[in-house]
Amino acid sequence: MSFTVDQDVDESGSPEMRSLAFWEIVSLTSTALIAVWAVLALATTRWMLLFPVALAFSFIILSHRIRRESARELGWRTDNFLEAVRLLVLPMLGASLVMAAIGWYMGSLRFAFPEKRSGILWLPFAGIAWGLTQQYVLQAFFNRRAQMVWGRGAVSVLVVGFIFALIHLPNWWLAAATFAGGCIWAAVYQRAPNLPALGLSHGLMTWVLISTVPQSALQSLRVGFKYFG
Amino acid sequence: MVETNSVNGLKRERLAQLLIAKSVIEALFVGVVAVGFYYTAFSPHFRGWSDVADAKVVSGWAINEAAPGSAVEVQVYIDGRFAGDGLANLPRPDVFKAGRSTTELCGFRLVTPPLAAGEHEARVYAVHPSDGGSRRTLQLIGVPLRFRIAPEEAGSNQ
Repeated sequence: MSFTVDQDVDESGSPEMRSLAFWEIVSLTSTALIAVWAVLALATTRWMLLFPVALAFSFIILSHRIRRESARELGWRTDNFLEAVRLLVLPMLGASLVMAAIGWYMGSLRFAFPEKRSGILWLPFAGIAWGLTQQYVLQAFFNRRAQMVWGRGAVSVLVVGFIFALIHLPNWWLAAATFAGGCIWAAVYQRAPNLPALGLSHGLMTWVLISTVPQSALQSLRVGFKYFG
Repeated sequence: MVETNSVNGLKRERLAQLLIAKSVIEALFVGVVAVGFYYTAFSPHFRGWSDVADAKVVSGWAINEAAPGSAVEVQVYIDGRFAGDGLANLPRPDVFKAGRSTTELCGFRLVTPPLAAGEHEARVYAVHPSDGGSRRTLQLIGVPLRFRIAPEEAGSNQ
């Protein structure tokens, strides 16, 4: 795996800064786990989920500010959109074929839009918006912090994939898919950091996943404690 | 060089403060969620007592101070097995006069199922629905009551 230098991540920081980046990763992972394992299961109202979400985004944004990371460095840019798309096309095609083969073998192919006509417009928009949000957290925060700790390359890519999968446990199908997807997206981000392209890819791949893999395996994409019912 | 070190030092300090602040806020939030869940799922407002347990009946009284107008649903377990349920809505003037309840209608009296001769233990629980009825928890009323069934009473509650 080779990586071109197309982004500015401060890898040459002091051991203390690398250590802090590691603890930032641990801290945000714990927030995500608290949200899906404790808040979703125990909260008296779903609105309480907004608190860890707000806390996580406040933490991420403050961390960007303290480390003086610009929007362009994070991947909010357009100049490398086509380069990112070019890198994403083959893995996405490959993953789509694998999922379609699983769906065909298990008789669960269902490429269909929602019954309500309004849902046809809503589904891709919501999928891409949700994908973009997840990719922002995954790449602009986790990937960049992982690169500060372990440098560019396979280790930081695997760490991003592992964290993404960990948050989707105990849904094993989803964890496997997110580990593979997380690694691919992390590798692409390290070569061409472009969040819109990754968000688009995330939204499309989620649609392919829910249209192919058996619903009984996906459990309505439930994760954490809610996976059990 | 000195300026760079000082900027990095400031960054380190601010990041460390941010991590500590987030951890404290998160710990408090998890505490609130846990206490909120316990308060909702295991209401602290049940009061009551199991007075009698024998070969014929299990009786006592139970109220929910958070909903004094509604009868508490109770379940009885004998030797750890479900043995019956009912509402605590029978007259208990003694409880009312003692000021333990705002209504006289707080007593329960459940028929003891046929049991083998020997020692048994009865536990009465108040049933508490929460989370829109998707969750029901049991809370012990009073203390477990131990009682003995004589050989002539065994297998019958008549």
